[in-house]
Amino acid sequence: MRLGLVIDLDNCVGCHACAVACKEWNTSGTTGPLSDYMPYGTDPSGVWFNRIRHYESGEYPDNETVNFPMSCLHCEDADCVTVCPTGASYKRPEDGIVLIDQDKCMGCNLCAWACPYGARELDEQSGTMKKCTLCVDRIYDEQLPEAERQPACVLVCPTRARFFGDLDDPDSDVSRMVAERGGYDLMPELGYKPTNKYLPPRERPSVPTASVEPREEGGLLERIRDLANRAVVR
Amino acid sequence: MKPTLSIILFTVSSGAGLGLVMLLVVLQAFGLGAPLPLPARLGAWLLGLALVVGGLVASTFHLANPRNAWKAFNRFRTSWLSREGVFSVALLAMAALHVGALWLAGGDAPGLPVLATLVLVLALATLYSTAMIYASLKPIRQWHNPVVPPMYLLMGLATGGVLLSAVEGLAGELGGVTAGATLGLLVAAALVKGVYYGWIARPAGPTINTATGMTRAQVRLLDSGHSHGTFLTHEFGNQLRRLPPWLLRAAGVRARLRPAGARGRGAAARRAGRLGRARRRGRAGGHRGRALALLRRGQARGQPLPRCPAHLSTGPARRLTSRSAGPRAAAAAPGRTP
Repeated sequence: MRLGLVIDLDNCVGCHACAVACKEWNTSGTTGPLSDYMPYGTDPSGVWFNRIRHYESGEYPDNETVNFPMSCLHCEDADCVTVCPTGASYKRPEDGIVLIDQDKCMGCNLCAWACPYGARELDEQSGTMKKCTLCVDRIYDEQLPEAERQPACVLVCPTRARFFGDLDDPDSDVSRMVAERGGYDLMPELGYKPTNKYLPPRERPSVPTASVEPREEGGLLERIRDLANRAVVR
Repeated sequence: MKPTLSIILFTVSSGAGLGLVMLLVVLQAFGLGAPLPLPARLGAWLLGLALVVGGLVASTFHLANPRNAWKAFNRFRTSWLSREGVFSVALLAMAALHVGALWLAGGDAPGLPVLATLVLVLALATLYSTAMIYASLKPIRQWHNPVVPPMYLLMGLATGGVLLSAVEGLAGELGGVTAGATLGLLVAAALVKGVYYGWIARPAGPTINTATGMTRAQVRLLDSGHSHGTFLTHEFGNQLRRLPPWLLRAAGVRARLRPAGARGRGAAARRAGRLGRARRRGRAGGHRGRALALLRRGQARGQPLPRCPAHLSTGPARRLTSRSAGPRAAAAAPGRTP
């Protein structure tokens, strides 16, 4: 069994609900708390297992925004486990989940350097490395109704852009989805064989752009537009 | 990358100590160099061991949870960091025995060559393990290359040679073999370092395209998704604005070092052109040009520049207007994976 997530980049709207749900569940979970440093200060920071980035792909006008959630990919060849000197990092043989034993970690950061996906974060409060547990304290909990035995990020997703399942089983929903939609690995060239898969955005015809061709200089509309553009500070 | 003082101390001090110990074995215990008087020889050994121990102690200061440091010996079979710990402790034990025998029974003590050989092998293994901690990290191409282990060995031996020459000089017995070996090692270390810089200048490794899987179009990071710093930006981002200007100048980063506020509204219109030039230069000048363009952009914006993980690479800034769109002909199809 190889449990993991499938993330549909076509559906993701970048609302960060998965990151928040993850933080809420896991801060009281097995590797919690997910410490915050100065949460109400001028420079708030803290531990998150799941982070969403936003990318622009292509050149205008053939461009699009892609929202990109990323958490631990639970790699088959996980170097974070190999480099760990204390044995705190381990990969469970039964379901492939990569976990960190908080009682063994000495906080040397080497695993974070070995992870190309930026999935591991050091908790400065406890001095230990923390990461996505795939909600290991949820997915096997028989107290929960069966439909809820899924990671918090999957349950909360309002656009159904996240799916959880066994990627070893070719007949599972997630495996079929990966096969149909051409799900892919991130940074396959490094050979980590990540379990989590990403479904690419679907092909869509470009929006006609005749109306936004460059206009002649100096018009009133153009000047107003320029003024508005300058007011927007990115 | 965040340079950690304790690790820099460890690398320099431990490397020099191990180099000194190795040269002591080869030149003194095996009798290849001019023999030193016993007090000077003992002093050199103690200096070498003190540097190794000092380095090891310094290295524990970067641990966020040093209470568990003793568990670092647990994964000898997979982790180079664990191997380094085991080898260095074994080395210290063997070297202590060697120094003890030397002290009590002098240079002709029985079993001294055996102990010396063990010390040499363990010192080599320790230094090699230190190098492999870095060389085994696939995501960081500046470290993940075959030049790193010989570089560590030669740097350690060269600094150890300088120390041994100093000790011999202080004892008034600087031998030609030691001086020659030190000079040779220094030249070799400089050569390998030169090769290393040439090696890492070649672009290689993951890009923002392979990190996101959108390989058929240019990909830019629009928003990193958090308003302030994270573990990743602290650990892997490099605060370039903290570098003094003379250092940046020395590194070839000239011009356009204007404060962020000075980039006025009028400059915004010129920015697209400037970035375009930087990008063209980046293409023309290969990796160095690209790196400089990145450095300049980071410097101009006063922002940290994450290099790793690749999915956080900063892309060129753009205005969101139709006029800054750039040549239409260059516009590729929106990013799709094959």
